[in-house]
Amino acid sequence: MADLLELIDISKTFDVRSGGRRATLSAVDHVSLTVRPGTTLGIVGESGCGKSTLARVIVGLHLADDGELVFDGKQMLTGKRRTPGELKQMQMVFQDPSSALNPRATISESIAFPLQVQGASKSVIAERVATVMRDVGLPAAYASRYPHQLSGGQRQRVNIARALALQPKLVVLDEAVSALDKSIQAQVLNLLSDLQDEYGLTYVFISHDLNVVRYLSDDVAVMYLGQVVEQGSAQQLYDEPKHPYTQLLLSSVPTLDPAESTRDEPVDTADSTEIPSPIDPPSGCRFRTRCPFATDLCAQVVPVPIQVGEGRTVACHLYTTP
Amino acid sequence: MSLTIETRAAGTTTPAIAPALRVRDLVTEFRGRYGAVRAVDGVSFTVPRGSVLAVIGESGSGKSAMLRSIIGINPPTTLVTGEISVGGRDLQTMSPRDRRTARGSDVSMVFQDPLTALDPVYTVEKQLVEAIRKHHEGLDKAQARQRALELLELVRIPSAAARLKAYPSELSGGMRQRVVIAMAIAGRPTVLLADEPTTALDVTVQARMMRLFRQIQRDIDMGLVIVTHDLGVAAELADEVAVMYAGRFVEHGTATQVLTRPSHPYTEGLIEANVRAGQDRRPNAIPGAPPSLDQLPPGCAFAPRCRYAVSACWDVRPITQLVGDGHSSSCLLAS
Repeated sequence: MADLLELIDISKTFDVRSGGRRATLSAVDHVSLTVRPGTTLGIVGESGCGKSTLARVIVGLHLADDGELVFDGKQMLTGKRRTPGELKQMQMVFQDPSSALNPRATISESIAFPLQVQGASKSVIAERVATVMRDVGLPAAYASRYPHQLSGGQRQRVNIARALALQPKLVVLDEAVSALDKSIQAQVLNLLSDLQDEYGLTYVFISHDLNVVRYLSDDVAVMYLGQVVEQGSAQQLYDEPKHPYTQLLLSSVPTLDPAESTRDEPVDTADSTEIPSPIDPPSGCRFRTRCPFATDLCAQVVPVPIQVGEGRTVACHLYTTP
Repeated sequence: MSLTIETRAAGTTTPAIAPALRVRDLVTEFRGRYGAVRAVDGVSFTVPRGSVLAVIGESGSGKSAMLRSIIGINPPTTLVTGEISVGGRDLQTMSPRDRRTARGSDVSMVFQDPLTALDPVYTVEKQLVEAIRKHHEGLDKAQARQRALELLELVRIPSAAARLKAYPSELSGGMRQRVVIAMAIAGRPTVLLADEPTTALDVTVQARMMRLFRQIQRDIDMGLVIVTHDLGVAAELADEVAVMYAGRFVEHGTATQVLTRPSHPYTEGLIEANVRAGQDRRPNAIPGAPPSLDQLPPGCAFAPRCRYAVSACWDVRPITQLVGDGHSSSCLLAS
């Protein structure tokens, strides 16, 4: 089946001031990704790796500097504001369920807003609001309530309902479950997979929680300092991580079994957790300053993503040099 | 009193005179215009020196209120009763002046957000020296500066001398959190309280920070109470785990007992709500939300969300009973 979303060589930089001087921050650097319809692409990486910027470029909240975006067989300009017709096909759910809602709008007003923007009639709006509220498991009585009267989990259901109101094909979930307690997070995760099954939704799911990403995603892309260093099916990537950064990420996830605790291992003093600044990223491979396998080559040549299996790419010299 | 950072030799044990922290029947009530809300409702526990207690539970369960009551930084309208002994000295019976002195030198605290815990307009050195001189009034500036350097080395900050001159904004999140820890242990506390200390950090940084906590805690032989909603952090770091719900400890035991053989349905629910590595099965959410503390049901506070609840659970408040060696649970059905 044709891909629903194809990103080709997307780059996004920001002009910033660093120490009083003008500088360029490379937030997303030549990222190419594809998302198949009805599936979930997970994006993982540390804070500052560009995953949220990429999410915003996808839905058109940021204009990309360079690159192409093909959605549902049609090319969308990444450097130009989207038309309402384009916007309604993609929606986004943000991390903080509280600040994403207008505190002075009722739940139904919040959910109705994107429909109003699109010029839907009153009767269509009322019907759609009732439908999506039921879909996300919000009692109809909540329609006239205000966000402060709801719990965090319920507020995130409102945000999901609002994203679904326009019947989008693609929903970008940017850390959408991260601010919730684990007990509530599980409710929202289950809701997301039920909605996907029911409406054939396609998700781009961004999270720093590696276990949750694996659970929800069909394919996963690992980002480091604006670049995709490895991608592949969730199962392959987690079972057999190839890039040293993916390996580092996966080995850092604590287990729930006290017997597997590593707390008594020595703390090494080497500064290998420090992420270099995206304002002045390392030459060659951006990960080389933290990589245990780095060689001279890594400082000189930027590794290009190479195919290492069905739908699986990795950008690392360990796999390009014999 | 001097701040010497001596490393305890491996294999030696300190004589157990008094535990680092002993809490008995701690009750914290926030009093407001519309009545009182009991955030902590009769909590008792002991943390030996060199040992880690992790307190887990959802937001609003009273974990942070408990820590704030122990160190004594609640708003003035708060009523705190019960015994809070640090190294054998009861903080509750102290004069406000002694209590202030105890803060930082007997009991100290690390907060969740490493960004807001530091003052952005002062260098790391200025802030550390201030903390050190607060606890060691005899020290001159040069000596305090030397101590600051030692503290940064203790929290394993690379090129510590250069970092002293840095402003918080020039440090990464992990480095800032280390500076916050260094400040917290400047007075060489008997017990350190940590409120979600790794939640704001990336998973790669979190893993090292947990090992660092462990190492420092051994280096200066203190007790550590860590509040977290992340069971992985508890499993990684804790000797003992307590589960808090609606202001009470509903289960308490060793990390292995609580996390691998949970007795209370709430603990079981928390564990099953986690998505484990490679899990395909749907996570089991705990239905509903934690109760509002001013509207607690007469019986077990967890009964409305409990899948095992029987009619008695709605009427009888369960007492805490032993379910194993040092493993207690407050559930009517526990045996």
